[in-house]
Amino acid sequence: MKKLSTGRALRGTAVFSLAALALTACGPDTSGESAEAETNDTDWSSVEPADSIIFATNHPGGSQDIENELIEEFTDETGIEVEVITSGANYEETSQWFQTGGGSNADVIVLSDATWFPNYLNDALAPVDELLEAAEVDTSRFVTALYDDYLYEDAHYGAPYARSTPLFYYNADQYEELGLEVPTTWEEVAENGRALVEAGLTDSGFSFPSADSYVSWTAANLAWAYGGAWSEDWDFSAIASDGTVEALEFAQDGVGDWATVSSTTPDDDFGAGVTSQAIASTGSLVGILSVADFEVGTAFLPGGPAAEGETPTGGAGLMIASASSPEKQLAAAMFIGHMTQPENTARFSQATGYVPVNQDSDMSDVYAETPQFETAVEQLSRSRSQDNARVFLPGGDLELSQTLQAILTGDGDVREQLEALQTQLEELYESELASELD
Amino acid sequence: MSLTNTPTTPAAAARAVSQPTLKPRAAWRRAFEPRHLADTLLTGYLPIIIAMLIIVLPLGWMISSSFKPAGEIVTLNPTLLPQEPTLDNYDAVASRVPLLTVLGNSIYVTVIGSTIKVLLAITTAYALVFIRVPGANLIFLGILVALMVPAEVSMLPNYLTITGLGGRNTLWGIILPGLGTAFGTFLLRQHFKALPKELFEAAELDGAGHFRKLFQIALPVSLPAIATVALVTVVNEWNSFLWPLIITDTPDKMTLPVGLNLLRSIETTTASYGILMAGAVLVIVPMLIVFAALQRYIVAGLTQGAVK
Repeated sequence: MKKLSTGRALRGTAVFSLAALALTACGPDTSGESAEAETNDTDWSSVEPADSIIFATNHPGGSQDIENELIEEFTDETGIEVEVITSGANYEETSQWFQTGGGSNADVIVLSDATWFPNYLNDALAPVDELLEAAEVDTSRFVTALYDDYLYEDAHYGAPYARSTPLFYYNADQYEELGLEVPTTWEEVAENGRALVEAGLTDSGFSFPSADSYVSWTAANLAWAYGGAWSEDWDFSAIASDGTVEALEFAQDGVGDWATVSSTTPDDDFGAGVTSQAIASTGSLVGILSVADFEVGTAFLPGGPAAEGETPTGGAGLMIASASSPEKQLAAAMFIGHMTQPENTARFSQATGYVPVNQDSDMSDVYAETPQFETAVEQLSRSRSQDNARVFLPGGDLELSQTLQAILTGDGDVREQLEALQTQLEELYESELASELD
Repeated sequence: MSLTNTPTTPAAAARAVSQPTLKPRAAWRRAFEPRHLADTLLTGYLPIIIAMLIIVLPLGWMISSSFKPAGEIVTLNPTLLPQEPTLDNYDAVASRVPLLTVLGNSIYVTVIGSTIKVLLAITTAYALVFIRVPGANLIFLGILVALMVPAEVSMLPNYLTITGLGGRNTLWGIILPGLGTAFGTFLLRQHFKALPKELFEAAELDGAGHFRKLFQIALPVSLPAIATVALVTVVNEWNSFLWPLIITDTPDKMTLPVGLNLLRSIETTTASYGILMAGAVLVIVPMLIVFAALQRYIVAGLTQGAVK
């Protein structure tokens, strides 16, 4: 079975791409046999865990404090010291860092659903199934959809950690004032947006993200709702299909009528009260609640003619470096087990706004404090793995985002732009991936 | 030989005598006479005020925002001054970044790096102007070429070299590649060329060697130019981001701008603008102090000494 699915890629950063150009020689050892072969040959029952490991993280969702708390507890329980290295400010920086000189010593790495696959192709990641079993981690209790985002050719290459989905946010005070119903389809989002603008309560009934605010992540829901997609496996014709064209024509027509395109992020626009409806990450919930001076409502993502509101998965997982010694790998697996325990997952979720990755997590305290969070967790039942064009194709997300922004901010022919994008994606696949996957 | 504040040449002396100068108070009065008022305001004050606003408003907003809670920054009704001032943003910076460590690293890198850079610029420029070096013009051409090459081009070879020397995650690894400063050498060479030759001829007659000529004549009359080079160098060293980011990855060896990059985090920007502003204030304030200390040298007259 081949399963190619993954989460949200975040905007690229220039700072490390320069160093990455020719420094792969300094990176993790990716020569020789694949990581899978090496790991599968190990008799884990005879391996003693190392007494220290290195954890490389970008502290997703501002998680530095809670990470440090959990790490201290892990060291107290096991005696294994964890050196924390801040490997960047976002997932791209962390991935670049891991692929270049810095990553050669890392044992556990935070990689996003969109950055783990290139590292897998470099043989830099160890399959974790046997490792987690040896560390007595019950992987059956992970949220299946989130764990399977790291599944490729019958092996998992990571465990879910800082996981999120997009969430529909609305200004509940304004909804109440106009007596609006929570929308379940994109048409209803448009109707509510128009009503809010016409009533003079807002200048923007909905805020679409720009290219550098994950537009290709959140807009996947819109494409799916109309029967479109960014790709189907490695077939890129879906991007210019009738469904995708219809979805993006709907969005293009809405901009300037009931919607706007954010000049910052939809999170900022919504939190400041600039817009009355937005789609943003569950990981943004804590930040939005801290700035909004109105009642924040949350709902499932809207559906459309072809599908109910499906939500793309996103966020990051914990990966184990293939270059680490078996002793370090086992200690790393124990560390992952600790970080994903039900209680610790609940605490991490409460601190960051990420969804709990363990099905046994007791979230009642979190729901009592932040009822909006329950929507995010319930919505996991409607999650759908992202399209390959965005998360596995090197450079695919950038091309997608730029085209989507051009469509939303301009009035050019949508079909023409998507057909041009299809050609670009196919060329990228041929030049970047085809030979790797053969 | 004695150094005085008299003009350096007969021509300069003649000019100084022939041009009547208004006393400051008289000039001030004249500028604000009704017939000159429009000119004074339009060509003098208005451009200055516009430039000041462009520079000062963002700075003021940054400082103000560093004391605001998140809800006062991300809002439809922003205010210039915080309504409920708080130090929480500075607390957050201190808790998320090893502040004393990265601050110490920045001071170390800036002081050591800038001192060596300025010394090298002074001595190289002096050598190019006052010492007969074979191929001096070719060397100077090389310096000009170095000025034209973007720093990013040399980052990869620098990275490989410094890493090969064991300089990754070290402070000397941050400092070493930038020690040769084409900008400083170029600026000081041009300045030294413009210095009156009579000063140095008189010194030679008194038996002064190159070191005496450099430190007792060239340097004292070049303080404004050297201060300018020093200021630019210090600011560049302090604000340097890309190279320290590439060559370090552990917080204990990061400089302040790189350390404060740790404040940026995925999906928390809406609530963290104040924290980022507090971090930016911590980077900028030391430079404002340095500028305040050096500015009197920069605006001073270019030749402060002359031949009797």
